[in-house]
Amino acid sequence: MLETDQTLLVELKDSIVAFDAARVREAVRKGVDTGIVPPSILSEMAKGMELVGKKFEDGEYFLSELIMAAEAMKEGMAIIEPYLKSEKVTKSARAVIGTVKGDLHDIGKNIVASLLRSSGFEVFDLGTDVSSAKFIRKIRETEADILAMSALLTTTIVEMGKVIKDLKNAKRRHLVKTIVGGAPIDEKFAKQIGADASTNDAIKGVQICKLWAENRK
Amino acid sequence: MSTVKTLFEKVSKYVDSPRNRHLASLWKPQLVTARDHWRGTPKLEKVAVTVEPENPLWAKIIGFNIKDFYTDPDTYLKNTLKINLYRFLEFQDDTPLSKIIPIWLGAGFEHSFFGLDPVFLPGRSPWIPKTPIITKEQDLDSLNYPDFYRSGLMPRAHEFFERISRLVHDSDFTVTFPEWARGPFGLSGAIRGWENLLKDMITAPDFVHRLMKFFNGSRIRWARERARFLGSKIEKANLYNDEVNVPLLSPLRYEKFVLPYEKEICDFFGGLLYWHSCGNISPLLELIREIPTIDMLHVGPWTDLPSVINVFRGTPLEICLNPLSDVMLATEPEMRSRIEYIINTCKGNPFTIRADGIHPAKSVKHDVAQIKRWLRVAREVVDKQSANKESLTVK
Repeated sequence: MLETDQTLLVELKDSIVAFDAARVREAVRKGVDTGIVPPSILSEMAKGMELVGKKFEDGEYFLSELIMAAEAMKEGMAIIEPYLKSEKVTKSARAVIGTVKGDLHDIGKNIVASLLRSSGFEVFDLGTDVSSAKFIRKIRETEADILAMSALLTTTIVEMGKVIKDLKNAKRRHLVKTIVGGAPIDEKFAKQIGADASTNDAIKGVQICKLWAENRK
Repeated sequence: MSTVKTLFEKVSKYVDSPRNRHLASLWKPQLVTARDHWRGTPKLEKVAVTVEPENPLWAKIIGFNIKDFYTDPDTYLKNTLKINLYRFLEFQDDTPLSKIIPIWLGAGFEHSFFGLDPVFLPGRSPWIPKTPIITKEQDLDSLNYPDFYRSGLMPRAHEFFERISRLVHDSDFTVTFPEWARGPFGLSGAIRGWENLLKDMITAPDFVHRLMKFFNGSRIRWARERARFLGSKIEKANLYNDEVNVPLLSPLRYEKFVLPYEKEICDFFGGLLYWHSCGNISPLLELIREIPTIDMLHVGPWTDLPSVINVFRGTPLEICLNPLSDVMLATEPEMRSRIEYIINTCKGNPFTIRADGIHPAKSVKHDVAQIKRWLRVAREVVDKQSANKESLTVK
């Protein structure tokens, strides 16, 4: 790789960390124009997002930075996606996400959806107040690898257990990894309802999903 | 009517009972407010424990339609009285019964003034819709200060106040007109859209200040109208602030975008009765401490308790639990361990322990039994600690 290419990739990573969408767009375009292979561009942006996640975990970045960085990544992805398609890269993992029935809280869910997208997942965000039937339908339709459910209210948390049970009845449970999130949720609860993982931290949730996606390959 | 009359009589009988007088003695009297079932601030000598199921659970326990509760004043009054009696007779927590009927029209009351009508999902309390009103900065210019009689849920607030006041007319019960409790940051997020606001704090800081000023200006003007309408003074206010938490806000952004406006509210109202956020406020504590008068601080389960004691020593605290892991899904040893931890950490400080945010989990029978179990365990731990009074008061 040429030194100028290396400089450009560093710039790309830094501009993601600086959540500067304009710089990301410019660096991606330059990268494509100078012939850097699209997977390398994508990989560098992903490294930038990993650094953003690290800064979030360290308490240096907060939700504003996470959202801005995810959006900058999204803009870079929009430019590079047509080239990635022609490169025949591995099919990205698919995640169905939503806030369960009876609950309208969605700040955390939206952030996880956004971070999953910027991590290369194909995300199907069903919004809030999502019934079990709707989750199952979407999982069937998209052949999703991951189901991510969010809830804040104690009542609606119980709804998560119902979705997992319905998933089992629909004979899809073994095909889908499930992660549940929301402030009052802990591992004990996740285990009780049969979820594969729980989180109340967007970055950790995405890390778990990435691990699952890697193991799927 | 006869049912309400019977309920008035029942409540009156118990209000004057020795047990209720004892419960009232556990609290320092506080200004009457229209939010929830207020008790007062905790005293140093005794740890009061209270439970507060959310209305979807009360609706199942008592048997009422939740939408009717929030839209029909007769249903509201009747079931508010039934809830208070049930808590007093069945749960037997440390909430004293009173002859005050607070009118609270649910989360989203203040949002409705700006065009966000509350959403009712079946069996749920009203909630705030997700469609932002301000999609671009200029939209703020066309937003008006609320009209005390006509904006959003204000006609309903007046209808409830008039009707319930008429129903209590021949009794010594009093009715409290709804109050504006939501903080400016929460309103800004809902009206602007949370993701937009979080980005604005980086890309358009002046606009965020304009938003915060607008919502504080709206509140101050509304409070003046309320005082004029009721012929009362402007008095200390509640600040409900669930959205103020980390990682939603960094300490720097709280200091820059939120704290000045909370101080402004404190100045205008002559102090804050109660500062509330369920979220993690540990990194914000030193900054919140800058608000000149907070009569009671809410401490949610995600906030580090030793840090609170360190920063807010001497301030009455309302320590709330994780409704799932500390109460509804907890075993007795887990309940005991959590309460002991709270008592040991907070000794020397006035505090109360509250199990709230409880929604229906399993069957009504199960949920009620679990709440009673928690209260029994809490009482055992508190009584044991009280027997050694020093453990509560030692510095």
